[in-house]
Amino acid sequence: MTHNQATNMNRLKTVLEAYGASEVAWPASERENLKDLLIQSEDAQVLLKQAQILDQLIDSKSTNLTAPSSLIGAIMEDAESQLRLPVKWSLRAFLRPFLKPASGLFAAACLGVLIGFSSPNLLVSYEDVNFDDLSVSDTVLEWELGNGNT
Amino acid sequence: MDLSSSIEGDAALMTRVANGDMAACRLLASRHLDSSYRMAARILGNTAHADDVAQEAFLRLWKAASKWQPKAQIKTWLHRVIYNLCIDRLRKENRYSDTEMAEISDPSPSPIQVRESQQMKDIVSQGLQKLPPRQRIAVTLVHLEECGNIEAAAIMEISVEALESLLGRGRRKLRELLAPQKTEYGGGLG
Repeated sequence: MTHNQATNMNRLKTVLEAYGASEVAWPASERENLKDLLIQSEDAQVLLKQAQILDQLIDSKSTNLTAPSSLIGAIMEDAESQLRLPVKWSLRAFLRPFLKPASGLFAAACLGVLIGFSSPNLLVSYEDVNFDDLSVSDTVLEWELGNGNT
Repeated sequence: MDLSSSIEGDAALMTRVANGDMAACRLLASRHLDSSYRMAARILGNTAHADDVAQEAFLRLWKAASKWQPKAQIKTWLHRVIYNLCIDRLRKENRYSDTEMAEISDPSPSPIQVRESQQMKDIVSQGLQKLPPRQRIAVTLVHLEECGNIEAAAIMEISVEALESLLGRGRRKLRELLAPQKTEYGGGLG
């Protein structure tokens, strides 16, 4: 075994002990070099098999923990309370509840004034106007006197 | 999907989150909640605490949405937050120190922690609880959450060499702890 091979073998041992047998987990820059060593060396393959056994043990004995549904609910509640957009303050927004009734009243008032100006006697018929004596008398006493109640 | 397109895709999703799009929030939760919860549970050895940590991590994600920069993947960002929250919790419980000595003197889990760990019904998780915290975290990130070595080292704020050292020691101890199981695989655990 050359010095270079021995160095590579030491490095392979370190990598397998740290990252396990899966090539994907190995440092990317060393992956190809270590794969070549595995093809060439039987000792390297023995080391790989030992690492594979521990990997299989870890994989087979670890259960896939999942978050409880109550946690998902709590996280979404946090999101809603945290991300609810603040209502922009404006005079118009502040007055909105009052604007509709006020505009209705204003429109009614305008209509009333318009009708009043356009036809002031709309509800009073000239034919029906009867001024009775009482209404033209200055006082009730005068009216009574006029009726001969002296 | 390569890293840069994944980062851009995540950034687009975070823009939707910032605009109050609940469907985007739900999509993010469905993609990342299980792995976040699992990582916290394996580091802490306690599913109730893992609930708290995962919820806090996602709350921080929602808060970060409006200022999100397309520099990192959401998965990496969440793992980093989970890691920090778990370290804080372990420190509060006097179960963590940055020094190597602490790894040796890492106290054994309390009976309550042992029971909670057993409730996880996961032999690997139970074995992991017997490792010093930094080895446990390194093994969890690389072997169970399939983080790359550079990503895992960045999350733990250590060099790749230091990560390899933690992984090597962690796997050796895990092999000893799981050794009774080895007959199922014909021995040969080295």
